[in-house]
Amino acid sequence: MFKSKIKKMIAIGVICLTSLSIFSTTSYAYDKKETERYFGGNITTGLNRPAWYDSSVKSYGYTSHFDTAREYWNRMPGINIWKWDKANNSTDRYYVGTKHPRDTTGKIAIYGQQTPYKIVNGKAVEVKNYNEDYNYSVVTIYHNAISEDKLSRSVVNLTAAHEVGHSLKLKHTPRIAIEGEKGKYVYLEYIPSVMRQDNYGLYMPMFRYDLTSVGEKWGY
Amino acid sequence: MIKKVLLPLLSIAVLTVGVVFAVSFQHKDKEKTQDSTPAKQTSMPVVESQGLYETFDTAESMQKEADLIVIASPKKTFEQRKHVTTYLKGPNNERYPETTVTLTDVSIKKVLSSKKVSDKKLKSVTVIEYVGIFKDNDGVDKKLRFEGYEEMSEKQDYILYLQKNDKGNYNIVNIINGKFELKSQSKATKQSAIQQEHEAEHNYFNQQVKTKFKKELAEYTN
Repeated sequence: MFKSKIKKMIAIGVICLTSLSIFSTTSYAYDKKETERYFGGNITTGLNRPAWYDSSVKSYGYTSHFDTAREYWNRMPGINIWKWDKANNSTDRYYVGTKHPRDTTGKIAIYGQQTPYKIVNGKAVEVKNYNEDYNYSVVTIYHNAISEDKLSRSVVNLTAAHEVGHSLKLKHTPRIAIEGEKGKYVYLEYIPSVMRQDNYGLYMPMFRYDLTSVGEKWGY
Repeated sequence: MIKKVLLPLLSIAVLTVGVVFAVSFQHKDKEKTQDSTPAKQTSMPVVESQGLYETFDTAESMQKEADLIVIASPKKTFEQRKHVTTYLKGPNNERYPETTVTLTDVSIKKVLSSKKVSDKKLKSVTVIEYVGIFKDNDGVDKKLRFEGYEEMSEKQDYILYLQKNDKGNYNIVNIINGKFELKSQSKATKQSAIQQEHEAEHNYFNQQVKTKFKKELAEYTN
């Protein structure tokens, strides 16, 4: 009688411990993926979302680049970024940066930028940390730097797709710094992706890395 | 005997294991939330942006691009420097920062390398830092860091890979990975999510640069 009770208790204990260890392993793997490929948090207004183009996009000839960028990410089932001529608290804003004060600073070597915003008490506020939830992104690509460095059409497409990728919470591809003997870092290696931090050029259809990263992030 | 001793012992063992796991998960959660703390606690709120810029894979390729490699230190505090900000107009009359940089005058303590021989005598230059101050829609001053770039402190010396632009100012080659603290300080506060993203590659460049200029840096690092 007592022996069978003890057996039951042991069996329950073993099941509990096994479940805990499986849970902890899964959690670790998730953290690792998140650390390397994408930020935490949500886009509270979802992935079926509008994008508003500022007039600078058309006047500087970047409409097709942003269209291509949307098309690139829309290949992922579940993502649908569509162009809208209005904007609300769930609308990404696309710009071409043209006001760069060249007379003061001279050339600035940034091609694109993404800044996320969340709505607090009805107002848009910049997030302090990329792991926070956010409502929309301001995506800017810089005409001066792009034209001065004579970036090719494909690289401009990549720049727009890169920034839109950030708006979907993707990080840059890891520039893997591998620790060799005696803690020395031996090389950096890039992965084919629009989220690479260099002028790699856009590949249509989608890079495998981008597909799996955005799929893992958003559960598709 | 079994009922009185073994059963309670087994229960205590299972409970202990449960508590240990619970504590370890709580600790993990704490680490996650600390990510949100900006790297430097100042009175000014800090926000971040990320994006695409010209990057280099090795210290050697950075040196090929750089007109000047120096040991230098800012002349003024961050607040006293020249901040340059332009704004984008939003669709609902709001505004967003477009360009947010700081022009930092630095005193050169040593020229480690220069393309022009005459630049070896330079005593100071103006460096474009990819961090600036902007006013948000409520008129509050905020600091915007590009890719987690932290402004140089006037209390520290830095190794800088610099490229001169058409206005005579200097861009930092490789941005966050073209500026290195001469004496690496242990970070007092937690890094932001973006800074954590760049930590390993920054260590990689830091190691290469300090190995390359080991002889020249000896008088400053010993």
